[in-house]
Amino acid sequence: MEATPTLRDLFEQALALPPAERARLLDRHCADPARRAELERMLAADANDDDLPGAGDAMDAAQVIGEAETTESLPAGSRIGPFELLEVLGEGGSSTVFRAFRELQDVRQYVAVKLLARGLYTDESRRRFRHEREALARLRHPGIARLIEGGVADNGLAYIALELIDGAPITRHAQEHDLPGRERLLLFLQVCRAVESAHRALIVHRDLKPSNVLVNADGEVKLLDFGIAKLLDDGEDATRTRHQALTPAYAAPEQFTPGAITTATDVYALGILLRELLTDERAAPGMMHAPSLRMTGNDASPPAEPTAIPTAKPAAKRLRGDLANIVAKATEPEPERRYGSAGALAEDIERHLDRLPVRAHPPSRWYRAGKFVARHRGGVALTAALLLAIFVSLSAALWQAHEARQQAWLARQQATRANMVRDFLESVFESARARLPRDQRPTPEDLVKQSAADLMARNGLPQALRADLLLTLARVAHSVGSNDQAMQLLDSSAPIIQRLYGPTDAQWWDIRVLRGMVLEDQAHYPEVLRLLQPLRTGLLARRDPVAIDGLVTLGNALLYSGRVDEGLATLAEARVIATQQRLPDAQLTASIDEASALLDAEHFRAGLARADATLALWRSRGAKPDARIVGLYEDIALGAEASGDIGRADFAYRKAIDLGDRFYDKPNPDQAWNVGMYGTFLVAQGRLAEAEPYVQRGLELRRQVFGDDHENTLYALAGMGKLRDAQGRHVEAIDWYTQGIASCQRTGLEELVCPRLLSLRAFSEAAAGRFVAADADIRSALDRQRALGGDGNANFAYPLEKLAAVRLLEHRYADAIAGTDRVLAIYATVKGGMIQRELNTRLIRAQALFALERNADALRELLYIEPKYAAMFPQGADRFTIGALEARALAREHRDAEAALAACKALALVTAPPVDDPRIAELRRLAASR
Amino acid sequence: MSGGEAVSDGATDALFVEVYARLKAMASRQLSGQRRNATLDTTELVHELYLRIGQREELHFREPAQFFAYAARAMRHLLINRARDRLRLRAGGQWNRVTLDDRDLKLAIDTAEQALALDAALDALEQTDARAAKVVELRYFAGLSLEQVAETFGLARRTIDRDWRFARAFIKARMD
Repeated sequence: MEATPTLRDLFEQALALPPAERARLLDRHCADPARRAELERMLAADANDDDLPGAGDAMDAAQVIGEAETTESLPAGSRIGPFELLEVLGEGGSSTVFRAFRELQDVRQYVAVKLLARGLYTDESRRRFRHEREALARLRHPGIARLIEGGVADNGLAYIALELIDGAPITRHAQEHDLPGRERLLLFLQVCRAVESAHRALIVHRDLKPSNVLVNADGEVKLLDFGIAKLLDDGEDATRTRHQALTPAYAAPEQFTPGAITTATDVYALGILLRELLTDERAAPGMMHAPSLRMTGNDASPPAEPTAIPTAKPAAKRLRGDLANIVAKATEPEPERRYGSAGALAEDIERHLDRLPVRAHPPSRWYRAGKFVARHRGGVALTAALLLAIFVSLSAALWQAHEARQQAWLARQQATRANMVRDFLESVFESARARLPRDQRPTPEDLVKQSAADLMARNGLPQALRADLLLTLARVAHSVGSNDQAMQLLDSSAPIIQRLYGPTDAQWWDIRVLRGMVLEDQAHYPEVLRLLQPLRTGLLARRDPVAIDGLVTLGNALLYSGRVDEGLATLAEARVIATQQRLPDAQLTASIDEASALLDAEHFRAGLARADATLALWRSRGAKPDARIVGLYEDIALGAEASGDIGRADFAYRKAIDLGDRFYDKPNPDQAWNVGMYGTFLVAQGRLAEAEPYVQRGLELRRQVFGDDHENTLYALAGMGKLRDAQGRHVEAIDWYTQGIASCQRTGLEELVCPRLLSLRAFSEAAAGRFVAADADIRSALDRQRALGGDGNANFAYPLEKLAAVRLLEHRYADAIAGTDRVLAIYATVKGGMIQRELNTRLIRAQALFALERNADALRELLYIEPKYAAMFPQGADRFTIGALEARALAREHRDAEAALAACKALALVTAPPVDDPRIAELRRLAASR
Repeated sequence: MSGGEAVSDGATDALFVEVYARLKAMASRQLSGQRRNATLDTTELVHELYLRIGQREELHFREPAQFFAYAARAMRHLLINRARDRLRLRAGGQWNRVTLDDRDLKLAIDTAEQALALDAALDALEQTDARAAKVVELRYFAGLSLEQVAETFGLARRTIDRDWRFARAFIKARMD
């Protein structure tokens, strides 16, 4: 230690000495002259009691330095690269644009020179700038202002010379010429085509807005600043998570989040631009999807205050029907739900101009219906009216799917087809409506069944359409939990699909993946593996949402089959593909499954990290919570509790329950489970008053959801017993356990919960002094547990631990210690996750050791337990037990000062009015003896 | 746990608001004393905070220290960029239409140089004593009082005072 004091050690030691003696200290410890000089400078600096240099603090310094403006330093006539600047054309947040020229073979070429406001200081940022610039230089399209040159001037200023365009922003042009709607759309088509061509060159604009979309005197559209926003990005600094230039009103939601920027980002901006072009209303700064700002007052509002987009005024007549749908589709918050490309958007507009049906349809019906179904998964009966809504949106989705797959010239044929779908669905609901007395409303199963029968009986339907409808019905059946029906439908559609489609068609994959999902819900894991394992390579190659579903299904089946590593790897692959393909919803699903699987497999650290990443992803999407998120929080809670991260477990439990309360309008299995789990968690934490309502409600919910004799309900009975035990009300506890044990006996249930209830009752009986009964119960518990799962595992340790606790109460200390030895040996073989139980066991052991006057051994256990226990159970009742025992053991060892300290600490834990406990008096005596 | 509780407490919230306002002011054009031309930094910082604050309800800032550390780092970054830009334009030798008067300009340049020196000294301090460096970040950049720093870290005021004394001497010694 003394050999290598740190700089800080020396500094602080020197400060403690009078100045005269400091030199001696340095002589002794600081041979290195440079170090000594540094210390002397530091001591001198310390003596001078002023603040840090640099004008007080950062705020003042920033004010004094001011902002150096590019234009300040560049008057007309300045040169940048080969160009001479003439005048400022415009200034934006990130750059200044000058009109400039150069002499080129005796010809004066006029250009727009754009100077980036920020310098490029590092080699890496310059390299990236050069790279991007080269890509842009290759971008040639009549609708895009050409990049002429770019570079970094000597002083670090980056510049780009662009074709100089003399024109007006597209919106102003349209207004000034009072263009009719059709003309505006034709102009907009030019914009789309130019954007499409850039996208094909893999260049994203990122900052499309009217001032970047000019129309020249010839009525030609010219786009400015393609890819410039990207040039402004710099990756030079790891302290920034994100560095971007954008215009809030036109920026897509993903630009506000850590999500990636893709061509879909431009599609979004095109949608906003189209709306503006058609309505003559400026896009609102900030948009509906931006995260809302909670801070109010205090001047905390940022420049881009989000405001709702004004609803269309009557003047905005042009934005109706198809066009409104087109804008809505282009500006969907989720990138994958927008048009796939600027070209697809253009096509839809052309279809509208040709008076053909468009692909866009009223937004979100299908989506919302899908969400609804997902939420009610597991058999909540749907009303016929709701199902009707689902079917309507299904027909729209079908229609849309077909549209997307077909060429434009098929439009007429498809119109016929759409009519057939509609007729079919109408006929189904006609019959459903005919018998709608309230008590006989058809269940979803009825409706699916009837639809399927109709479908098979109906003549004249094209086979492809029949197959698609059957597949759709199968999907609906699966989503409402009617798996047998789904399987029948898949079987009916299989021959048609087999005949019509091959592995290059989506349907071929749809049916296989859906079959896998149904099989998985039916717990036929070997069959899932047989079906999907051979398709694995194909699924990996397809990379679409269906393929990702397939991989997730396969991954889960592997997990359920005990092939944990393969399953985890497959889920990770699914997640990575979803991420790469920018399919946040699929990414979320895969990520959640992966987190749950990791936690189930007791990879706590990795699982919790994945869970965190998943939550971050979910938040960044601003999506509403759904059942998957509730499940995720539940997994986090269990994983965190098992691995001893109590604060996090507490947070996650509460979050899961809160979300569940908002989410489920009826008693629900997940909610029933979570409420009860949190109750027992609180009991273990010694937070008994808080626990009471959760434990009670958990029991009620489980009785409602699972019935009186279900094992989950029995766990809730055990929870009530534990609560009463913890309150010292052992006789009541015995009653609760007895209820559960009676149920085990009545129903012949052979589950873990039965020996646990016996173990718990044995302990309560011993605590109530009924040792004979306790002995019988604990033996019975051990026998049953051994019959269930052998005697070498963590589950067997449970009754063993209770046995030791009973022996302790019986004052059979040597037996108690032997019992704890066996328990600890078992826990030593389990990888983590048993911390709570281990601490309890060690406490029993310490108490027995103390009773046998093996003070040193007892102290060793106590010192091991104490900090861990305090961290995990800050309010746990046993903290006092541990502290009191520690004080007494120390006193016996005649370590009086330490004993007094420990006694004080233990007494500080006693909050209630003096407990009737002989230990208190002894501790007071010990504490006073200091 | 205790971090989680601290979030909902009013004092942390007030401090949060204060630091946020400070960062925003620092990022904003008013501070530059000039009319226009918010730099890229401004846009970007405001966006980023905007994001984070938007998510605040969900995040619950389990660690207030995390937020302040983030804000301090952002402010540090902003100051350093501003200083670099100031020195870059001078180095370019094109300072021929100056809007600052000469005295202000000299002060601006001196301060920019000092800011860069402080940044470098702080980097060195991080290597020697990471916590002391964090104290400087929160104190100098985020503008927290030493008392607030102590609360944020959950450490005794005495400890933070010692950190600060060491850090200050260390940095001053290197900046001379």
